[in-house]
Amino acid sequence: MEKNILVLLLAGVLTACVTINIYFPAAAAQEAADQIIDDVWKIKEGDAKAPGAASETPTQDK
Amino acid sequence: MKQTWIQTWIKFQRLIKLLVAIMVVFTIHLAYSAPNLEIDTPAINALKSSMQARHGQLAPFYGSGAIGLTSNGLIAVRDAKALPLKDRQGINALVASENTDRSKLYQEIAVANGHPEWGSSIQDAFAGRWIDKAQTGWYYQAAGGWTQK
Amino acid sequence: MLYLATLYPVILYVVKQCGKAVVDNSVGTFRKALLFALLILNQSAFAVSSIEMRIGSVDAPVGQLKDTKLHVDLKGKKPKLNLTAAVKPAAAPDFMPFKLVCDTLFSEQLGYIDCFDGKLTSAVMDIPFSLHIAQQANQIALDVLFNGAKFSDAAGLHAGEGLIGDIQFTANKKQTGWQWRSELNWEKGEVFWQPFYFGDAGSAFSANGFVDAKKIVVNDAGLIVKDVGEIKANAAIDAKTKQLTDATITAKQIDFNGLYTLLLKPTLEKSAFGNLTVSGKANWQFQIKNTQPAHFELKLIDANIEDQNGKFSFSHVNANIPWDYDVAQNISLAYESGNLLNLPLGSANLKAELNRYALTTPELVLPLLDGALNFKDVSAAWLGKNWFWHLRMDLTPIDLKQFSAALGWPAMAGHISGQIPLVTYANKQLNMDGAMTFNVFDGTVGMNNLRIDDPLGVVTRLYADLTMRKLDLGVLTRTYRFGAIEGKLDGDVKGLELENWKAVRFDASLQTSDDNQKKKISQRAVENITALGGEGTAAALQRTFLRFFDEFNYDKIGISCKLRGDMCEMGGVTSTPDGYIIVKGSGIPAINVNGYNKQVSLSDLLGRIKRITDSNTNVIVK
Repeated sequence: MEKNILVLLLAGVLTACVTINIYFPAAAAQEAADQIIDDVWKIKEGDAKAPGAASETPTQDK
Repeated sequence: MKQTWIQTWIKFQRLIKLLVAIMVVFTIHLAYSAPNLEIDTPAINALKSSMQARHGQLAPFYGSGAIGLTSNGLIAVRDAKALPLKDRQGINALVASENTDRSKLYQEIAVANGHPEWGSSIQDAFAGRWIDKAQTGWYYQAAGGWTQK
Repeated sequence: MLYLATLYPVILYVVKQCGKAVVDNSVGTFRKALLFALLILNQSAFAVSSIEMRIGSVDAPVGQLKDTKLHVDLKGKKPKLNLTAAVKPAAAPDFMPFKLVCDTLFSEQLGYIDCFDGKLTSAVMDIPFSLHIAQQANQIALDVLFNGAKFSDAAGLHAGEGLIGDIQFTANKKQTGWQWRSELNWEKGEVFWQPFYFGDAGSAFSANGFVDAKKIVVNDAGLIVKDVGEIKANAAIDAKTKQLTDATITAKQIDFNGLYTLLLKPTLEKSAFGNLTVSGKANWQFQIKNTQPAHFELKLIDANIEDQNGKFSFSHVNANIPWDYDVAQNISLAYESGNLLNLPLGSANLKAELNRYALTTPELVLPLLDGALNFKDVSAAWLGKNWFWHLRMDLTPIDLKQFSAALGWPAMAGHISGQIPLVTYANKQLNMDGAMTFNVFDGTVGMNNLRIDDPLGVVTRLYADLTMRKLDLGVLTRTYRFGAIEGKLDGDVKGLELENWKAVRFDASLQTSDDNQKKKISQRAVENITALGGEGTAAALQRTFLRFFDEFNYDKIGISCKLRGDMCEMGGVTSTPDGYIIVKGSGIPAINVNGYNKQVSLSDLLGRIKRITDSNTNVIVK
């Protein structure tokens, strides 16, 4: 009988586990979006500096 | 008879404790593994740098209101008249390639995390964040049409 | 200009009677009205100080007019005309306000009208102009100067700004229609007519033709476009639908860059050819029959083509690309040198047959470095806006030393050869059935089941299986300056997947070949293998008596990596309870190199190969 309960409860936990994994991680997705958007749009701030930085880079002759 | 009952009860209590313990451990495990999404793959990085490079061209157009952010995480031409004539030619192609990249990005994030079916949920998550992070003056699509931030 | 043309008869209709006007479309009344109006204007000595007319609505084939108000002020020395109306061109959905002002109106002579300082304004245009009209029995001549004109449709997709120039237009009445002649000089300003943009003007246009109720015929149109050259055209336009039914456009010895920028690029935006830098000369011809493209011809003369995304380039291109809807054509394309995905291409002369939307050729030879890609039985089709290809491919052996140098890899000796029975390209996916063989490091590397998704796109994925046999470790280690190892190596890389040319998945295992003769590993190589695991252990060897030995014998070297994402599940020759053996020594002194870290980040590992850090491998001295 105990075993039955155990099995049932375990099955319950396991089932719950499966269900949990299916949920879309909305918070994580927002975080990922923030990181990527920051990267993609940050280029604007670097814009003004980029040409100067580039000219300081020594050019290599092949 | 009575003893057996007590024994059973004790065992049952132990079992409950064990299960609670399992669940606590499991919950902690969940909390720890509430994972960041994998966004560092070559495909995602390639799309990011492609979009970064394009943003230099797009930024003035967001500013002038010629293009705006749509409610589904893409961009669209809002008012071609806000552009100098010479820029009107390229705008459609520019918007189209940005949208191709964005759609691919959402799908690649889904694939990188082992759930290709998440594509549209990820797109939804991005849609709100693009708009939240947009600069003042940029346009975005809201329920009532184009709205200026 | 359409509006102006519409306007002209309207003015004349309206100047019919003082006070009230009833519009009459008959030509007789039209004449009388004109006469009357001009009389008034000529004889301003009459005690008429102004003329004002209001008209309810006018229907004409080109559109409608309502709430028309005409006011001619005769008080000053020079009469002034002011016309306001709501106009609705035949194609437009709504009426829009419209205003014509003539600050100086002359009509010294019957049939002649001059309007200086005129201005035509409406929601869609703002055109300052001066106008001279000469009207005789069967002829109308119009001379318009416009200065800073501006127009735009509601969406801004057909628009012009800052236009300065003049139009001369004459039309002679014939039995069935009008014979016309027109010249346009466009000095300044820009026009965007989706998808084409004409900036900074400097263009001239002349044409003549015939117009009747059914069609507009344009003959001998000559368009001199700045930065391009002269383009000639004949065309017929359906008067009702405004659709181009027939046209022949010819351009000879024009600037290829101008042609590309102005006319070709806008139509190629979304293809692989939408972002090129080009130069050279071109001949171009394009023919439309019954609204359908019928013939096309592009000749390139010593042109250079370079993709701005760096995917390909061709220099000194001479090409003859004719295309005909009905008749199969032979095309040819030759270039002196080029570049495809960083690989230098040698001079080539390609020929093929183009049959409507299909291209076929028995052989295309693309010299690549000292060898060549030989495409055989090529067949391609353009279906539903996508290309579908299939072909066979032979490789004329390519020197690997040059190949690796071209790709910026460490110099490798050997060559690439192979035969691929079938290569297909469909839905942006390239598939190879058959093996390509790289003869390298005195052994072979075979590449099987190659598939490339979206080779020219942002996210390129490559799938392949590699089989390496009897690679000479001596040559290999000297190439990579790893410290000498003597022996032969076999390897298998299954399910290799490159994402954007970076490995994200494979099951790789490399190990000593079975029939190995000489198996020696130098002390430096042992140190380096050890150092891949970590710095701390690298010196371990130095602290023992083993430092007196230059090299050791080994029984087996093996390493395996199951890559998923960036994580490599490592393995070696055999597993130990807490790790795996990478180098299994033999003889005396025997030296083993063990690995303990089963999960290694590939980027870390590659980083370590360059700059040795971290510690996880141990040298075990027996």
